[in-house]
Amino acid sequence: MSKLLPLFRGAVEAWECDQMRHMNVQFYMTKASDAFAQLQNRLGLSPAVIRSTHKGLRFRNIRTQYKAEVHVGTPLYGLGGVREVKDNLITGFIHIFNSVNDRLSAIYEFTADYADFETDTSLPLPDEVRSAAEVLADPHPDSFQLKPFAGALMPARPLDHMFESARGSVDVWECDQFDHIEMRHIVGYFSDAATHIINSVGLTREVIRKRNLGSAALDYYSEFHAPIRKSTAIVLKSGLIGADGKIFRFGHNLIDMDTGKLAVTTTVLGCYFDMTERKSVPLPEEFTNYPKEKLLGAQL
Amino acid sequence: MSGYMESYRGQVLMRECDLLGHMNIQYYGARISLAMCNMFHVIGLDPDDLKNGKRGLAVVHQDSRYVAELHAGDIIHMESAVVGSSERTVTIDHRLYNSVDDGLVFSSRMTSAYMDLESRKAIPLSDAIRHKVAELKIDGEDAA
Repeated sequence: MSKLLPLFRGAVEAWECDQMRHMNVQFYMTKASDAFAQLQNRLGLSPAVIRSTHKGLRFRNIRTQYKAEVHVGTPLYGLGGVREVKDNLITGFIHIFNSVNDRLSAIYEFTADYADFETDTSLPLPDEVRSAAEVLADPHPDSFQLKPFAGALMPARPLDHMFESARGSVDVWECDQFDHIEMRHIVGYFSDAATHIINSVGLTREVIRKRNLGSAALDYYSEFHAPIRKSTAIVLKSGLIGADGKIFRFGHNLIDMDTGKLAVTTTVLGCYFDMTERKSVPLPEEFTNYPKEKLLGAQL
Repeated sequence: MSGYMESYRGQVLMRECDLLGHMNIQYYGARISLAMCNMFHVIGLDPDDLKNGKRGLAVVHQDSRYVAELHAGDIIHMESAVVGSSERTVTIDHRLYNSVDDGLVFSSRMTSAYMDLESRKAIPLSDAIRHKVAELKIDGEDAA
């Protein structure tokens, strides 16, 4: 039995593409979430079981690497599997491919635990889920292997020079059947914040357009510390960790304002590209001239 | 069934469910739309062809059957097959399944016209599409 599982098939909708004319990061997450639901079923956690027990797998951390942009109408498919079961954690991966050329477009590597969705507490893996995961566990040496995330990671604490980059409340239509915000909308906050961070370094939309520049995320690493539920007031605090050569590095802390708890910590690597050539270019001077003392990296 | 291929795989979201507590009909159509993007590729229309060739396929007729309910969190997949064609049209049969038990939940047979997107008129299928459709086409009665 193949341990590499078919977990997703779809396409890029017109409304999933942003001003960079490619699929926005939050819609990659939608596809990965669909794939994760299919993977849970393979582990004995069918939708009916999850609905009746109010328990299932949830992400503890996710690494996402974006390998190639995809555009409106592009058919996509997703494969994935389990890499390891250790203690009460399952590590796995989801790969999203462009169906036209079988090119790898995005990679998700995750660690998940088994949780009660009512109390948001972590639970031991049920025996049947552990057994199913162990049967599927494989290092998958023939599938793409990510190198470890290099460089500074955003810590789970506030830093000086972070600023508010997004604010909102969690709407009903952003939630799953257990009143938790869908992963897509968490990534959507990070996506919205990017423009504010760019603005904070002194770039405006007009300048970006005149220079024919676009920006793209290359690598995300997120850690999930607390749940975000329906109607919760949330604020995102962000800052520039560093900028060198072609790569900028942002840090985000997503905070539940009701409890004051830090819910999600994320590090983002990205670049700028020429909108016509679709090739990366050196960072705008506004990034490289950003005061070094304000870089979050100076505190790490 | 031979000739059918996977054209969509995903899940039902909470926000797609209506006051009856099941997935609203508009989202069945959304799954067909995604499946069609995959079928465009299969019959020889890739996204660049669509953009550069200014050609596309537009639905002119559809027959659907809703067989079983879907609820928030359900995992689903669609299989599609070419079941007919004419000088200017392609007919594709779509079948949506609950991925847990492979039970049929929805089927839809759709005829689409090949369009010139500048004149907004149906035109004859390209030779490449005609050949691919002939190669893929299964017995339409078998798929009924």
